[in-house]
Amino acid sequence: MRRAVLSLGVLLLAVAGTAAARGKIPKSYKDLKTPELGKLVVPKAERHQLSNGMVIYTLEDHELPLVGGRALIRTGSIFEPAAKIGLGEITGTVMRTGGTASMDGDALDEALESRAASIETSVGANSGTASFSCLAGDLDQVLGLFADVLRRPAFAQDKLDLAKVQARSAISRRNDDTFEVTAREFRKAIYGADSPWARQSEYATVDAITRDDLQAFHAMFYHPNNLILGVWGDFDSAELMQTLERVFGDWPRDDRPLPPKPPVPETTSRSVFQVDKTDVTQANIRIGHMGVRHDDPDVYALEVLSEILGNGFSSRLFRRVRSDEGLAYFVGASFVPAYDRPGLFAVYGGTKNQSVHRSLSLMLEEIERIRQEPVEQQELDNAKAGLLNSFVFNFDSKREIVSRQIQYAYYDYPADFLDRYQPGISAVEIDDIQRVAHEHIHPDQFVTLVVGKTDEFDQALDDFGTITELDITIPEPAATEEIPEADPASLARGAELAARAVEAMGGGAALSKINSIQFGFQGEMTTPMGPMEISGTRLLAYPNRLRMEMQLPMGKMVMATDGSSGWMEMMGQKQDLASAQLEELSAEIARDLPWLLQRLADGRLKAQALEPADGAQVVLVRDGKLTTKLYIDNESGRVVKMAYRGRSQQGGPAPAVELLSAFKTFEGILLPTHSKSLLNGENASDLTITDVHINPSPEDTLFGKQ
Amino acid sequence: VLAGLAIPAGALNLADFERQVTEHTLDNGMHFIIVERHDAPVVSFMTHVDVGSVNEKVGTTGLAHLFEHMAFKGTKEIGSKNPRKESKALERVDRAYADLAAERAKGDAASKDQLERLQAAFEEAQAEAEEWVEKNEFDSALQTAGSSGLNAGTGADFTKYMVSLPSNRLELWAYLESERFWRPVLREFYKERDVVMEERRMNESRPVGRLIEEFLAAAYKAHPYGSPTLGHMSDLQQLTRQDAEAFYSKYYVPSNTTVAIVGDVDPKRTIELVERYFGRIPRRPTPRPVTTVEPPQRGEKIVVVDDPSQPIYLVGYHKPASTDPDEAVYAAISDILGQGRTSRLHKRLVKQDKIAIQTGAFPGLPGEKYPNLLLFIAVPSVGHTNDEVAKAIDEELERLRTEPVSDEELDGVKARARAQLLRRLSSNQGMAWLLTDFQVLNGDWRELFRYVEHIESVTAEDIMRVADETLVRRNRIVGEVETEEDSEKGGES
Repeated sequence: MRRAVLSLGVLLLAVAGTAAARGKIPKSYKDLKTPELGKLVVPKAERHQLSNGMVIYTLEDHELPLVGGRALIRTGSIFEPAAKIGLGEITGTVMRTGGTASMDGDALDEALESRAASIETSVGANSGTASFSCLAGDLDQVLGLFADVLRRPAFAQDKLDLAKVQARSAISRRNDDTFEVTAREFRKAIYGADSPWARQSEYATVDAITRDDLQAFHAMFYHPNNLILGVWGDFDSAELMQTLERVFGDWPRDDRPLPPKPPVPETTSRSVFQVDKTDVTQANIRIGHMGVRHDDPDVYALEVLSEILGNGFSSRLFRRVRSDEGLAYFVGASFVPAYDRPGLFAVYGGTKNQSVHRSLSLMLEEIERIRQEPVEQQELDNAKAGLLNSFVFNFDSKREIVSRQIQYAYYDYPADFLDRYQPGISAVEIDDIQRVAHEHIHPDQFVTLVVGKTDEFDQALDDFGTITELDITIPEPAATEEIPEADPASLARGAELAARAVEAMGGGAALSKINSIQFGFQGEMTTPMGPMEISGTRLLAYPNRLRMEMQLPMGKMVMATDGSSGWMEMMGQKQDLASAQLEELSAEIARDLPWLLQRLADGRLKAQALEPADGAQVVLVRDGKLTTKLYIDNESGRVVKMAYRGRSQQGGPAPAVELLSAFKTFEGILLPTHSKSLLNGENASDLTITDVHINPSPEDTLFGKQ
Repeated sequence: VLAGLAIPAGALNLADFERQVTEHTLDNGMHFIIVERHDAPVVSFMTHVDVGSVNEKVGTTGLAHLFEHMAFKGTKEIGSKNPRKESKALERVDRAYADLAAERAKGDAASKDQLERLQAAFEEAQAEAEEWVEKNEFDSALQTAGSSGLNAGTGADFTKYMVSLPSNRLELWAYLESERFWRPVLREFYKERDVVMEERRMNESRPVGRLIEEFLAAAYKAHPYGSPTLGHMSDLQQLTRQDAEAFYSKYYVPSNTTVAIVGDVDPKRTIELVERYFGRIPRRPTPRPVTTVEPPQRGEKIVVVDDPSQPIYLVGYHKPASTDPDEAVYAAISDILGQGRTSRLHKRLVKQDKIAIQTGAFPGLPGEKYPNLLLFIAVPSVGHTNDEVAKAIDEELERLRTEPVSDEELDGVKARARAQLLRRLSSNQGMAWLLTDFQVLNGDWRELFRYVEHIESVTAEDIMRVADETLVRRNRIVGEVETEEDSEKGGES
């Protein structure tokens, strides 16, 4: 028996021995031995600089006969004027589509695609990019074209027109996709709807963009000392540098300073926004606030925190909302740092309309839990191990290595910034997670946005905060109206009609005596936040000085111009008016009815008769670029309506109409004391004139900024 | 103009590439393609199972995709705190669900009280089973090891599982991947079914998602290519754990599975490991392919989706499977008409007429294994209609049937085909994707290189011949999103 037993033991040993020779499979994957990782030879991009200041990083890679390149240019849509939102993006598009000084856009398309090459350009929020890709044998030709695109874009008018059609089409489609709506409205909710970091283009702002604008934008930002180029692939660096010197070397540098970047808010206040989108079965949820910069010392602890809370398949949010509850297909949270400003902390998910409230509650619970309870050691270890073990994927593509270098250079980060990553992650402990969760996650600042079919929600969201419903209706494009050319007949008829209006409003003699006019007003104005009570005074000193004082629910506001510059004051803050605002304020003067009539009476302005409309005679008055239509009542001869190109709340041009009534006589001059105005056909204001002073002889100091 | 054709010496060709490749087939039929690339100490894995939504039957649509989700739930040991107790608990969940489903099947005759009671029992059984679950352990094991791009995808023809790892984790991958396809445990099935319903809702909340589903349903009356890969909602609501297990047993067999391993690996050691781990999986019969054949269309089909969103236009033409000798000709047609800024549709509709903001062509919707569709798409620009873009596309298609394409156009197609291959092979994961695709669909990964050669031999006559046969009205399906009158907001019309 013993022998038998013994022999069985030997047999077992023998079997085990065979298994070991063949390689044994451990009972658990956790018992596997992990061999040392093969040595990571990190290829380093070489830095070069041309005499004009252009910085170039190169990295050779001879595995495949391909070359790629990418340039970052210090520019961005954050620098475009509010009246021309879309200028940066369109400049980025037409730089490439519009061709160059030596080759039109269509020929450029052919030249590139017949070689299986590409050149692409774009302008994002705070950088411009230009990239190319080609077969190694075509590198010289493609680099020549690439330099031309950057240095000498033609901005052909027909391709600008095309880009504007595309931009307008994108506007018309911007509410079709829930993700696009969510991303856009969330940005606006965090940064403010008018912030250059968030604002959106409108038909009017796209329409306002001209070829001159594109050229000026390009001239402002595209300089060799303002650009960083990276090239990787199958080339010889020395030869490449010679080619680059040839195509870029004589590009003159330009040392004008760049405009400062617009600020981002330091904090946000707790708020809940809702968009009703009736064609969706799944709602999109986003919660967040401002985050941190890449060079914040807490960035590594926050990366580990993000990993535990909401990044990927093993995170708490994924486990809780998706695996445990089956409420979402995508759900997560993370700190997304930025290089030049605090990035964002964002929590996101998608769930059926019927479980929006429940999902939102669970998401907030998990955020609260990571703030209140220390994370478990195992969670921390796993998160750190995952981040550290995947570090090697930072180096598995040459494109990635070079792109990282130009990114660091662009934002003035040290070239070896990534070296801080491993020690940074390794050092994170449980206490650090707790501390950064407290210091960097602020539920009292949470901006929450939900886009979905709101009447199907499981429960109203008002327990998370007061709900603001966002109206995402796309403002109608301003109708562009064809105005017929003036001819002797229409001018003669216009003069007759103008004379009639002058007579009805008090006559040329009375009008000619006016040198200033002040009136008080009160009423209601429509704003993006809803209707608002306003009152105030408006003081106009002919010919070109204006001061408006307004009492608004949030305080007093003053705007003034002395004819050359303008300023505004609100909540004790005095600041210069931007050029578009000054232009608008000056236009306000040229739409003053007595001001217009005085000039029509003495011939300084001319009227052109148009077709009668709305039961009234219509004349058009041109003053430089500005045109104003006056509707003259058939019977009384009074001016009962004015129409002109105004400006919408978003800053774009919009057709404006003022309806005038309740006429009263002041010092022999008949003036309307009620004015109702419409922008884009919608109520904009309804004002009553409370008192009028003709020639109050105002102090000069009222108009200047001092 | 011909510069693009002069591919420099050193360009990838089959003979050079083959030196990097080692192939190995296990006794159970599982096939491995190993490509050595030692640039960085990383490796990409692609497991391609030759199954997709095309293998589903009426009433069980969405099953292939749902199983793909279940393949991340682990095995008896991986993902469980107590396999024995969990196994018993899962049986109770199955029984509770069967009782509930039986009552629900009574429809209006079902007792409300009974339904509530059974629902509660089902939820309780699930909660009990969950107590034994080690949550997301399979994912965690890979993530902790430093995975990148951990994911999976289900199409009409395929289910692919992909991950990249530091190359010292080869054995970990072999362990986990072999375990999950050998003896998966479909835990948390009914929760994951809810997740998949959310994935479906995400898709149906997008105008183009809604359109494609209707479009394919109209295009196929017999062949399962007409069913949505994400499944019909009412089918998802009925699928059971047993359905998923039966599906697994039938299709997830070694001889139906092909794996590509691309990166910093030693082929000899890799073969040793895959023999040891995947060699454990018993051989089973290879499932048979789909036999249903879509009959020739008897006339044009048109499907319109009334939607609050802006218009979109699709037109598809029936064409043969990708193994057809003319596949390269279809690829050339698709390139000439719809790919890039010099394509005919872009030049005509976008640049010249400015009636579309985007045009495109795709030579294989919704799959490639069986006869499929050559698809053209146009997105009308603001103020323009589907009718306008349809007319312009028709004229361009007619021109292709009646006039030979120029040498320059054809040369461009050929230059781009080769360069595109190079670009797609430049990443480990891209290479692993392509190699498994061609191995499974064409029987040999080398066809990937031969495919480029086939494109290089396409002539202007071939294009005219194939265009003339294919691009005819009776062979086509039109799909449109039309903006509903009453919900139109903003924009010009």
